[in-house]
Amino acid sequence: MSFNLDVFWAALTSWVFFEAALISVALAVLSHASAIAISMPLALGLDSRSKVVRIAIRLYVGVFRAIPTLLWLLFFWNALPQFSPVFREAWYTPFIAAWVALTVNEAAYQVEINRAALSSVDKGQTSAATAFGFTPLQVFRLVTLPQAARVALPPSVNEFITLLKATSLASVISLQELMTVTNQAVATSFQFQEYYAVAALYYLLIVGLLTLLQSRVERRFDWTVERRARRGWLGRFTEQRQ
Amino acid sequence: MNIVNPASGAASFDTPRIAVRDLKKSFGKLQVLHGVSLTAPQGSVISLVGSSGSGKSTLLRCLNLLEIPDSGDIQIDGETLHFDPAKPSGGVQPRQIRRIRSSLGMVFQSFNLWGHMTILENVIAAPVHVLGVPRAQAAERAHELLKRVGIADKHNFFPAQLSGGQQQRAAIARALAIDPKALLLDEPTSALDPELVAEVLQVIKDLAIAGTTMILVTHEMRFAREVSSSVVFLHRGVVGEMGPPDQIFDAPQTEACRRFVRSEFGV
Repeated sequence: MSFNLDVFWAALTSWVFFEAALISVALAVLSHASAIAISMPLALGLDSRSKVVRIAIRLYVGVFRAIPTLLWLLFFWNALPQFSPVFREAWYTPFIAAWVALTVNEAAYQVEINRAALSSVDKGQTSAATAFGFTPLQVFRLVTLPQAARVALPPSVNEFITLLKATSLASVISLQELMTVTNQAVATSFQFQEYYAVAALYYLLIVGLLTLLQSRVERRFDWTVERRARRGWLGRFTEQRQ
Repeated sequence: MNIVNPASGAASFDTPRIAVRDLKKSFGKLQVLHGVSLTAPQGSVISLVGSSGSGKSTLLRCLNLLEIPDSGDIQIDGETLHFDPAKPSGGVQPRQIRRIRSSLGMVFQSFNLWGHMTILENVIAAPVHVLGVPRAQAAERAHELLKRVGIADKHNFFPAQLSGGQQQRAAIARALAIDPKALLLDEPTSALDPELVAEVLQVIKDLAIAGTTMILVTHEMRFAREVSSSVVFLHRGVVGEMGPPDQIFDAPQTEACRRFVRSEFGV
């Protein structure tokens, strides 16, 4: 067994791997953001008075959660262009296809998280806001959302980590993300250890940074510490909220 | 914490702060209010008493329209809302509903301070977001009010860091921050440990002396007797009896009220 440090170091510091890692992160961030955007109205819709709406959302969650992410990726890249020539044009890149596939898949998971978070907000909190004359939108923005966000944060970060790793599946549709680049490097050199180590290190680094960020945000959400004691860079965002 | 308002005794009783006429409210098939009428003159303290299920809390929630009455009239400081059973929301516009709400300060049994805001943020939220008061001005007033209820040093704390009594006093400050036409208090001491009840009652008493119009749902009969200008005994969704505390507690006119008073005072 011989681990070639030079190959490892060269790959780790290469633009190719760095760019691939960026693509992985960008795909995960974009997919999660759009999934959250989609899942918010769906989560609210689960408590809708209309039975049709509730059943439609349940159906969406059921279907998109049951089918493997890999199959969604293959479907959106290979099968969708057969439906319409629109998807055969140049704009429909592997990145776009992966973004769509991961979004619809992830939104189904995020719906449950959001709903649990929204329903965890005590009714007394919203009725107090209503009693003081807040509009329904103000009640949501100023009371429900910040309180639900705290509950949704830890499981959402978990989801994001899962999603980040799921971006590696996009190697099957030739997206030049981290795993694709790794496989290509391995295929020509057979230096498995070195390149796998590089990929592993990148994933570790990304998740590590994210965990750090999470603990910063969670400290912001700690409503048992006197405000004066806490002044972080995130303060600027949360302070404006109330 | 002594608050003296020399005008309180000489307040004009011509236009009542709150008047209710023939208010009815049902939840599904269950009719809770069967036509309640009462009047709260300016500076008065009205205690709503009665056994559980008599409609006290529902009446209070109807007053600031957390529940929309089915029919009847509510008059707040001269502005009359008529509830038409034939129309959705009784035919009252959301804007008008919000205006009424923001003119009455509500104090809840379980405080309901917003947990993600500091005490100061709680107190300025409604003035800033509903009434459009500039933040600095609202904060200045908030500090005054927090001082008045005896927790000036807690403005930077979150509700979870305070005792129940302190939280309820903060909630009273929050209700006062909108300069309400009247305070509505829904069993303000029921969720408190016995040793914390007194500090909240003292604040309410000080407000009564200062001439704040209040409608209070309470189980603290001795306190109701002490602060009320009149006591309303609700019984099965109607006003069973009302009058000055001495009458209700010492010489109740109806059998139902007599029985209630006896059970409450354990004699």
